[in-house]
Amino acid sequence: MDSALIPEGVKRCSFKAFCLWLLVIFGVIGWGLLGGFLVLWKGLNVTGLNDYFGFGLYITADLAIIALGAGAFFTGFLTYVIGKKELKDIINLAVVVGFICYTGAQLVLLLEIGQPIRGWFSFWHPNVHSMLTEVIFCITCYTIVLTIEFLPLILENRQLDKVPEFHFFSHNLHEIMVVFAATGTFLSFFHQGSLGGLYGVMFARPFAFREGFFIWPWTFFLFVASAIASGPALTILVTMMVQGITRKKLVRREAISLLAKVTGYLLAFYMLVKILDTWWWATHTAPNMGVSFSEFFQAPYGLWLLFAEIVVCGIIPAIILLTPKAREDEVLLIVACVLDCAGIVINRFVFTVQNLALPVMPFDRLEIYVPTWQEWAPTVAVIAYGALLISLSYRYLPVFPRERELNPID
Amino acid sequence: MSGNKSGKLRYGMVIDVDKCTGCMTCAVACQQENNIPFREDETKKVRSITWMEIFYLDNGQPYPDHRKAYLPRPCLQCDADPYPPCTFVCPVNATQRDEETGLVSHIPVRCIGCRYCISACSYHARYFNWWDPKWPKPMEEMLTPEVSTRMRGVVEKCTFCVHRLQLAKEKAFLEGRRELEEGEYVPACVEACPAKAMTFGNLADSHSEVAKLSKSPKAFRLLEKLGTKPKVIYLSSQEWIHKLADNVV
Amino acid sequence: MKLDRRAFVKLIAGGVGGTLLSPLPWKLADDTAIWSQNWFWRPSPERGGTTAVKTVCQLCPGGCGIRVRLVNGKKAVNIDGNPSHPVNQGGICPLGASGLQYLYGPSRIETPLKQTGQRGDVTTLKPISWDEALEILATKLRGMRQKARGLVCVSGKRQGTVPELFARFLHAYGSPNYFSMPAAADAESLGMLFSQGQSKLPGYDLENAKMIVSFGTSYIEGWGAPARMLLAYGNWRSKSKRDRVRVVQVETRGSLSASKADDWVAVAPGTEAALALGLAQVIISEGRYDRDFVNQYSHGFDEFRRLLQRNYTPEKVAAVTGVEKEKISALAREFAQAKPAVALSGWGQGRMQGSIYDFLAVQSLNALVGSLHKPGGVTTTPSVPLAAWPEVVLDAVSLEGEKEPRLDGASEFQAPLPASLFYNLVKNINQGKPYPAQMLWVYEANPAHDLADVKPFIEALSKIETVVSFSSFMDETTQLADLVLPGPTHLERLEDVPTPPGLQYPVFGLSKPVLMPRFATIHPGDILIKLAKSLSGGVASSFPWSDYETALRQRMKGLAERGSGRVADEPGVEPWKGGQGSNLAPNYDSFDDLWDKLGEHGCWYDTSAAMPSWGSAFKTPSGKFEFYSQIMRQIGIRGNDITYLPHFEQVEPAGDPNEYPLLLVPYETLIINNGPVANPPFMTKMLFDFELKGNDCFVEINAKTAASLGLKEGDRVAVETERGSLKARVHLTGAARPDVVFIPTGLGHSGFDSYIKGKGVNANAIVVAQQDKVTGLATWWGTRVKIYKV
Ligand SMILES: Nc1nc2c(c(=O)[nH]1)N[C@H]1C(S)=C(S)[C@@H](COP(=O)(O)OP(=O)(O)OC[C@H]3O[C@@H](n4cnc5c(=O)[nH]c(N)nc54)[C@H](O)[C@@H]3O)O[C@H]1N2
Ligand SMILES: Nc1nc2c(c(=O)[nH]1)N[C@H]1C(S)=C(S)[C@@H](COP(=O)(O)OP(=O)(O)OC[C@H]3O[C@@H](n4cnc5c(=O)[nH]c(N)nc54)[C@H](O)[C@@H]3O)O[C@H]1N2
Ligand code: SF4
Ligand code: SF4
Ligand code: SF4
Ligand code: SF4
Ligand code: SF4
Ligand SMILES: [Mo]
Repeated sequence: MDSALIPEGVKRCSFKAFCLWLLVIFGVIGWGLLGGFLVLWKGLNVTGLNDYFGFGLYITADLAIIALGAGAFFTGFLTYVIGKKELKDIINLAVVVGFICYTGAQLVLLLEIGQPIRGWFSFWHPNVHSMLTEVIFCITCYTIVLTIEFLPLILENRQLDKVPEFHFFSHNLHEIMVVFAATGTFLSFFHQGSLGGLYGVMFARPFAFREGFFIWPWTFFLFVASAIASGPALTILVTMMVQGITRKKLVRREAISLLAKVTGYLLAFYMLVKILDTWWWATHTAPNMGVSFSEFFQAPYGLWLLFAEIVVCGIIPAIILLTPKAREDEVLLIVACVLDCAGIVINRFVFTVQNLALPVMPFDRLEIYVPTWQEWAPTVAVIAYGALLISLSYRYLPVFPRERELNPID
Repeated sequence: MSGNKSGKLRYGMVIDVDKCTGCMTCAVACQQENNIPFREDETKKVRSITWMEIFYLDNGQPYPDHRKAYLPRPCLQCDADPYPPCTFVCPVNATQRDEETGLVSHIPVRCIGCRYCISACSYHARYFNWWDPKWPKPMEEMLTPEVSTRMRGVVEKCTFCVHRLQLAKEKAFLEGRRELEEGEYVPACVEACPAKAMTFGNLADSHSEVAKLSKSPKAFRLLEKLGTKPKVIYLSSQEWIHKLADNVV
Repeated sequence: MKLDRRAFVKLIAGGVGGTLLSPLPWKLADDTAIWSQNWFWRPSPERGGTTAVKTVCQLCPGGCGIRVRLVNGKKAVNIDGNPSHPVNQGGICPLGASGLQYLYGPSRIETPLKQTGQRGDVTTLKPISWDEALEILATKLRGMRQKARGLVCVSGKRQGTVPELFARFLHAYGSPNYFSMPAAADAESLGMLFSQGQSKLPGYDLENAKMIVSFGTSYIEGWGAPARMLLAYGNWRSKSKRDRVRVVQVETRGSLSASKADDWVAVAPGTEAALALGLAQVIISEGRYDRDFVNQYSHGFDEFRRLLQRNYTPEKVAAVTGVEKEKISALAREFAQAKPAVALSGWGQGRMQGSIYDFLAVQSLNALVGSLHKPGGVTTTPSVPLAAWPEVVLDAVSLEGEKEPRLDGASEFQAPLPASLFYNLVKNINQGKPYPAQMLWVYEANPAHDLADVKPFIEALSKIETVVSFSSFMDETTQLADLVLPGPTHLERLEDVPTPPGLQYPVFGLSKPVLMPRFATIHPGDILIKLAKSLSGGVASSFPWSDYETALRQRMKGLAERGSGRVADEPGVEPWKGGQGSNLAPNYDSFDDLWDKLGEHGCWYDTSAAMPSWGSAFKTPSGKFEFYSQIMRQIGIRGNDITYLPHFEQVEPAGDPNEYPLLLVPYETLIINNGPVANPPFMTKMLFDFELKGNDCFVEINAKTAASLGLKEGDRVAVETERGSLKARVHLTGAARPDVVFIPTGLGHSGFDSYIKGKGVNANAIVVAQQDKVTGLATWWGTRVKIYKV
């Protein structure tokens, strides 16, 4: 039925099956929309947020999504700027994933602020000292860049491509993609760093606060590192997932292996920096503020979180990714990427929730944050939104340039 | 937004914890003065708006050595250099420190409700409007005309009753004066305190009552070690209270 | 001019460009901020000029001067303290500051109501006109005039012209049954009568004392005149080290009053008086008492000393109170040395009558150190020189009525004493003895909620044909009324506010309407006058005034004629500083001038009368302070020598100790109002979440008690006494004595509005009031209890 839209020379599931799949996705999205609608209609009182937890699941999700979206800029950087041609197999998907992450994050951000109607004030009355201003500016600009990067792919749809103007436009965009990749890299680099500053500057919050060298440049690069060490892992995971679901080989293994290897190095580097940061924080920053390290970890936000973040989701996946034999193993590769991504989620959770849960005044008490379904639903719906965009892109756009070559139709 | 250029006006408050009887009049007076809404159930404290919050302290000892004290906490109007923790982070300049007076303002109509400032303030001095404010039918009548009610989705906090400064200035202006006398501008909570446990004035004027009290050996600030430099200073001669104010290990 | 295409495009482009360059679009964009704040559902305060009017708060007997700020002269938007009022000096208490929440409270009653269905069913309380309401009442009163004694009146207000009008009405009508809600003042006035020969109330010169020992009073949590006490506390703490005032709190619970004292002496429940006697014993045996006073101005000292020597040595007192004997001796020495020192009595906020012996024990301590009628000590509250009204005109019926026994006189006690025995009243109404109560009037009181051990009272209501409430609010008693005659609130009415309890100088406050009454309410004073006029005979003749204002003016003439005293018209007046006897020339020159000035400033005070000398202070048969009371004997109280001496009698808590192993002790805090009006939202909001959470209130227990019962912080429990059971949650605290359960009073309302209804439980429902065997006055701290998880 929709065969006219499907790229030439590739096989897609039946339209009926596709519709069924979309139905599932729309179900989840509908749930998310309902949750989001309730938040907008009734207010944030339907969430688990409160005056202790000004930030919660939404912000955790936003920060994690944006970090994981770094796969786009970083793959682009490797492909266009460094010139790793193998990665051309995967760059389209990386851009789609990045686009999903950034637009998804902005949708969630809209729910997160108490006055969405005034969201634009951050452009209107910007406070240049606020990390949030910096983040909002960068994310917006980078979303525009991602849109530009995504556009040629959309225009390459079989029917759209027939329009000469579109064809011409997308072709020319392709030619100058290196410019956008570089711009995106620059922007993304900056806001990923700023995201670290978001917490690092809270000098009345000993858990998040870093001082001197450990805020600039340390925290800045720490957060950049955390993003580029996990974003590509998500790109790999999504690729593997699409391959798994379609039961097709869509990307050459070299591309995946290369990305996995680079991720491994980055993760190892990130871990090194992170451990140094933690060590300095535990032995210098915190004691200087009159707080002992152990005070930072109170049940349920115990030391297990630190262990999970650094050992289970940091060191272990780094070892896997750096071991050529291990990363060639499909299962181990997936495990490593999942752990890597989980690590970044834990990191963003810890800085958001654990940071706020901890009592700062000695007579204060630890509070526990439990998100409500109205928070889970839109967050999960962003994943469904991602699935929707990927499904549509995969079905109607030439996302994988090597697909025809790797899956010849008899 | 500009950095901390301490001038000749630094409004501040001294609260004598030993004198404070824990009567909570200050908190009630603040609610009345600033049109702070109330709900049928206000027992979920992490969502209850109290610009003047009363913290409960105790010395942790068993009966009969147990002692408690109540610690009234307005916004501490941090004088940190260059910025208070909260204004530093606000993306839209909805909260700023007026460098002429040292007052940390908050403009509800500017605030987008991102709650970054809530997260940044370790004193829990900032509150989000989780609900639209509502007053049971006739009680709308008692809203004071100087302070607008806030709507759902924005943050609010103690302003040191800045509208009272405005009124005092207007009065002085009409009388042809450019400067205020001590005692012309006093927040509602300070005025209401039946034990006279609170003193308000210009910390930068070494002759003022607050300046003198702030130099007392009994003086301390909440979480001094964080460098937030609160302009609300507490007094107590009890060691356990000093200890509880500052998390020094 | 021709508009060609080019010119047109230019015009449009210019227009667009111009608009963009103009401030307009930017201003409009900026305005979004404002309109997104000003949604129509967000209330906007009315703008307008404000004025401040001074009046007097009447939400408790504290008598504070207040200022009410009005917008456009008609909307009250703020209440704060009046800086020129000597009692509160510009400060205010949380209740007073919440006053507008009563004026504009959703539970206000707008018109008279008549119960048209089952009593207690609020939905069948139907609005009626004032004419109809007064006619109903007048008809009933005419009908029962021959049994006038069946009319019972309960006033929550103890003093002032309105309670006097109620008492007068009953007197003229022929009923002896005018009662006040029980309070410590009942025991105090009796104790003063027995020891000093006049049933005046004690006035404490706390501002000049150097040491204060409080025997169980909530001295900063609502005892006495609350705002005055808070001010005094602040002043004590402002003094230099050399003049430091020492405050010692003797109490079972680690209350705020205990924590804020320099020393907290934690005594076993109900043994405060034993400790006072222990101190007296040490002071006497070490010869530290005021010899001049004791030798020349006291009677029965030897008997008292012998009793102390026998029963109240530090060892014995230590065994009873649980306080180490060294601490008892040390405290006694300190008290005797710190001159002037004063001891306070009256449990909690003073809502419990208490034993006269407890009062006498503490007053004896004051007497021993020479603190009676001395600066920094305790004297009597001076009277305000009001003019008398004409004598009540007694007709045949009321003359008959005067001979009737009061409904609170019961044979099992040696009563009737010159005090009201409220718990006897309740008992007797229930038994219909010695005669049935036919009609009950309730004024400024909410006994159906506030009376400790409330169940028998509610039962008693069912024995009464007609219950009339004069309340402005839908309180629990009013819910049970047959006829409701709502009065104006404290901000809408003219009324005198007498000297607050515990004050050492006389104060007369005048409250006036600061704004138009919000509803068609009628002042109770005017209701009584109208009612009296519609009855014939002595009742009508006893109320010769056209309205309440005329009646009030008549009494206030006395003030104008006094020739001393001032209207407090400037800030910073501290009457205690010059001390009593510092002559104050009036700052008004006629009655009208006084009336106007009082209307403007709200308060008259005087310090002209000196404290009585020891030679003239005591109106006892001996003319001295009587440790050994001869008056008790004279009025017919039988007993042995100990009966007439201050002593300590252990109250046996009510309930079977095997079934109820713990002790239930109610406690009062300033942030939960215990008066006739329920807690306002402003105050309820301030409760900690270990005091109220959702609709659950908390009982305080010690961690040891909790451990022995297997309870953790926040557990839901049943709190059960022989009177019944309540549900609450437990809060573990070092403030609680092991084996004692502390329960807050003032919660558990079923009346009023949704801001208080159903929050917490009413402790009064399960405490048992126990009457003193000699006087019949009640205590209610000692109820055995068990708690268990539910
Ligand atoms: N200023 C002021 N006024 C008050 C009060 C107050 O404290 N101060 N208290 C109020 C209260 S609580 C009350 S109960 C009322 C009391 O007010 P009233 O009922 O007016 O009581 P008394 O003023 O004591 O007067 C009782 C009258 O009864 C007379 N009398 C005494 N014995 C007998 C007797 O055997 N037979 C007859 N026929 N007459 C007798 C007395 O001579 C006296 O005239 O006053 C109220 N008015
Ligand atoms: N010699 C003599 N003695 C009498 C009488 C008499 O006629 N002659 N009359 C008797 C009669 S009928 C009565 S009713 C009694 C009345 O005598 P009391 O019971 O002593 O009542 P009042 O004299 O009205 O004063 C009550 C005191 O309580 C204070 N007070 C008011 N409200 C409160 C409150 O809510 N809490 C506390 N703690 N205090 C409060 C007031 O300031 C006042 O000091 O006196 C009896 N005693
Ligand atoms: S009003 Fe004064 S005494 Fe009362 S709680 Fe506030 S600071 Fe303390
Ligand atoms: S106390 Fe909090 S809200 Fe007030 S100035 Fe300091 S950081 Fe800001
Ligand atoms: S909540 Fe409002 S005041 Fe606070 S940081 Fe966000 S915009 Fe600024
Ligand atoms: S200064 Fe004003 S706004 Fe701040 S707590 Fe006091 S009354 Fe409230
Ligand atoms: S102490 Fe009593 S009289 Fe004074 S303000 Fe409070 S409620 Fe009113
Ligand atoms: Mo009486």
